[in-house]
Amino acid sequence: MPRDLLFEIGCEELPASFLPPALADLERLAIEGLAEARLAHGPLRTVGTPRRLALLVEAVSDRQEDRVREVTGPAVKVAYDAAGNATNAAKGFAKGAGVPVEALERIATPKGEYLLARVQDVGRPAGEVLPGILAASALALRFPKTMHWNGAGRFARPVRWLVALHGKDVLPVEAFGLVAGRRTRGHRIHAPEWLDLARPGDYVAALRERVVMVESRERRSSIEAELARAAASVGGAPVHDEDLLDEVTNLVEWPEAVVGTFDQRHLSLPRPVVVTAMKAHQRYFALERPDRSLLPNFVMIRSGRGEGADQIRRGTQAVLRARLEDARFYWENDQKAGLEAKVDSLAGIVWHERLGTMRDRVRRIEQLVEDLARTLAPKARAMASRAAHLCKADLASEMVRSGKEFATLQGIVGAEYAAAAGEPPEVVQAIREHYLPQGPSDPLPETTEGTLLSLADRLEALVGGFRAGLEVTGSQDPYGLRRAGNGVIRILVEKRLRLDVMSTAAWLDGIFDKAGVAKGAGAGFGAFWAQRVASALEEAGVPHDTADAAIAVRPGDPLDVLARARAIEEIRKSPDFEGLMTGYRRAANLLRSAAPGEIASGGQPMAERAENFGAKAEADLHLETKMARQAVETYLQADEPDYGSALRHLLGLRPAIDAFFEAVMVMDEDLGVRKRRLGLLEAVSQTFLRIADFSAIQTAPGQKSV
Amino acid sequence: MSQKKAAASAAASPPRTFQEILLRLEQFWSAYGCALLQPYSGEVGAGTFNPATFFRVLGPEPWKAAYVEPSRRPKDGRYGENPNRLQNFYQYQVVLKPSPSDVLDVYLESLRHIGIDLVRHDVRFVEDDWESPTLGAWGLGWEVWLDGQEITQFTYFQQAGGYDLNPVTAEITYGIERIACYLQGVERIMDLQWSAEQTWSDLFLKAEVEWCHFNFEQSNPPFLFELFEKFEAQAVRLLKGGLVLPGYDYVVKCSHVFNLLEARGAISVTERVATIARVRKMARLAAGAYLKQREEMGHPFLRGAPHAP
Repeated sequence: MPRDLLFEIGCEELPASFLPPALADLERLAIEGLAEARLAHGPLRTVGTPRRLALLVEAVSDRQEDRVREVTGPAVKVAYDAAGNATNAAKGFAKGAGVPVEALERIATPKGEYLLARVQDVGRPAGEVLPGILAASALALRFPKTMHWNGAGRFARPVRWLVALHGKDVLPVEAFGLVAGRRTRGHRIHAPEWLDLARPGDYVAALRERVVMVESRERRSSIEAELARAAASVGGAPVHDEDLLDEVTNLVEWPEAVVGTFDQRHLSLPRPVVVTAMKAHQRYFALERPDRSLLPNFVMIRSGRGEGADQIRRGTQAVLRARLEDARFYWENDQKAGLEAKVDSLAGIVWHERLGTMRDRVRRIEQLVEDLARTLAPKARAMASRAAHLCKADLASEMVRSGKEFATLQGIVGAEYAAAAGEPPEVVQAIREHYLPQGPSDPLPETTEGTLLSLADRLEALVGGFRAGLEVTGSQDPYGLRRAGNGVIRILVEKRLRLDVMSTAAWLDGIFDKAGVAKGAGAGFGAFWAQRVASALEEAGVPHDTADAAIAVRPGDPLDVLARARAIEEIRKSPDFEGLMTGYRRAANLLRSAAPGEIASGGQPMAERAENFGAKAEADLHLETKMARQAVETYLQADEPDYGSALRHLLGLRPAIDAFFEAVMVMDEDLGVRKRRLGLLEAVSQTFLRIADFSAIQTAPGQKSV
Repeated sequence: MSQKKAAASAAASPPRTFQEILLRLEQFWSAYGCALLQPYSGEVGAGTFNPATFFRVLGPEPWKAAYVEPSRRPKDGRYGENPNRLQNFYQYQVVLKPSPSDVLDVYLESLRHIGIDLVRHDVRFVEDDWESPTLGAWGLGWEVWLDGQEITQFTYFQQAGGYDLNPVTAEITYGIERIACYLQGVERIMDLQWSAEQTWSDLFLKAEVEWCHFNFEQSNPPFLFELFEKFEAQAVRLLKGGLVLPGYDYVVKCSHVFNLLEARGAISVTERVATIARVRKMARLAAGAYLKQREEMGHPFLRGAPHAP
């Protein structure tokens, strides 16, 4: 009879963020373990709270399924002697496989005939197999940070008990120095006694009686209901915050709302500051009126129920009062000195020991914004430049410098101070958005001024970072350089801005040089940038070799690289493309193997007059290349370069190239002829290089390169 | 645990004074079997610096101890004007090695013993990765929150002086001013009733203000830098000579001098990192010397000494 299964890992309070991935892993590991052990089962799920991770499986079979396994043994030629009797090799194999020698069969393989045994695996009782599977699953759980507590294994926090039941039977799972039983515990404060579970089916209900809501989904919807109820009691609704909801779900075993209030006058603080005071450390929910203005109330979700709401309210209000009063103190003090004074005091904050102070950095950002505005958005120049001047002022404010929860509001706090000081809305908004995007799914700055400032902020940090010798290695990105690079690419591509980042970086290097900052260093940015562009192309679905080909010639402008890559992808579909590549590679190989000085004029043989060419094919290729080059240049000079048409022209060179190789011997004995022909090939190659380095393109499967 | 029950039954009405909270904690942990120790005699930033923690967490020997530690954090002073910030506050420190499997229950019991009726409160264990770069120590644990207020740091020590620890010590650090404020219903530490007759202000406000003047204005950085060099040389010489505790005294002095320099703003960002590394190096030397010494002594606490569990 199949019976339900329960496995509970009882632990001390796990970090909230560890819970969802651990439950997902436990589910996956259990599914794999049961399948491998040939144990049939019904629906499977995991549930958990900060104090327990549990696996619930319905109808787990009592016994493993039987199976027949084929085992290959020694070669037939050593298994039997001349008389046809089984040798020791055959006997040993049969014994090991647990079958009589007479039952051995033969199997033909490319290496000859071998013995084969059909081994009957009789399924073992589930009770013998399950403990091992469950222990292995528990031990295979991984966490971002682990500890040990008794020398018997590592986990995110100490494991204190294990429950493992198959039907009514205890499974003696051994892990972390513990042996599983049927004893679990309820809520730490409200029902701390040990409790014996009769069967898996009792688990959820028995815990509910002991003030533990073990299903995350139920806790989450219960919190939502509690929040709505509590908010309604003061005429508002909770400020929507999925992250906070997820976190609080995994902080409590039994959620119950407690509503608190704070002094009205704190509502004059900027909304993000007030919400952060509630959320960051305290994990309180902010409430708002139907018109979306904040209420002087909050909801705290306690873990537990019943008595004490008044006491808890008093405590939580006192903590929030202290935090809001800190915020008010900063807010008022910070405004006394004014914004310009804060910009000045950035001179006292070291940005990087080799790159000077934050004030130096702001100066460079200001210059860069001006430069970017000139090419990208001249109309936004004045406001963007003002925003650049003020964008880091908040780093000198008490609000951000305190290192408290408000430090996470850099940019937002700066915008609020700028607004309070009467700066124009464009400036305020640019300051607010200039830290965007932080991650791959973050929104981009909305305004042109914010976009320019975000670009300048990132490029200054990148170029400076590489001059100072900061590095990005493997998965490590301690200085956020990779993130900054990705941000630049996202902005340029998604906002369709044409910017040659390599020349901007060179220009910025000049600024650093002039100021004598981190001189002599600074290699590495080019390689880093090419890598970032390559990774962006990969994400856009461009194959590696096309990406490499496009990046190799002009990596600076991501939008342009992308356009060339897309055009190459398109032309690769053409039936003539492989043939063209064959000729191109042949040319490239000859050029590579040519001695120095043999290639006449650095790819400029166009002055040659047609009548000088000995062979018609040579003269034809000369003419065709000249025309193709002119066409390519025309397409490239357009505002939106038409790489598709340019490539189609290059494709048109195929017959001339093929005919040339057919008709002439490039490495002619006459040095003059040889130089002329190599020069012609160099001209062909240079024409291709206007778009991409086609030698990076790999041969299509099934084709052979020459 | 019978000791626990004995201690619990002693708790009656909530303590009315700061000193009574200390007494109750002493009572509770004494009944639990801890050695009740006294504060370290020099300036430390936390109870962790006390040799009763820093050294005893090292090596295989069991250990149970509890003590008050006056903790000096020069740069946290606010001339007595901030209701929660002091440059000299008190920690109540408990170290249990190996960490008992019911250690959190025992800790919660100690809260009941000082008059906190837990079912009427929200008690929360908020993840906290603790690290002391100067001591080369780290551990995992929690901040314990009572109704949103942090009242305790709880840490399972994983490393000290750069050495991996096994068995693992549980370190419980009560923020007693916070707890007392909560129990007494006052919002400023200055208003705490220390004894039946005196408040915290009566006893310490003048000293707090004086220390702030010293820490922020009157200390002498060149003199302190010189002291650091000399203390460091002394520490290294003594520790290499196997004089563990005298040597460690000078490690602790270096750490405090560093804190004073930092409060004075006399240490730049790069110097800061380098100076911390120097203290850490000394702490590692001290830890190594202690481990060697205990091994040479044959780990006496392993031989059924009164501290063994």
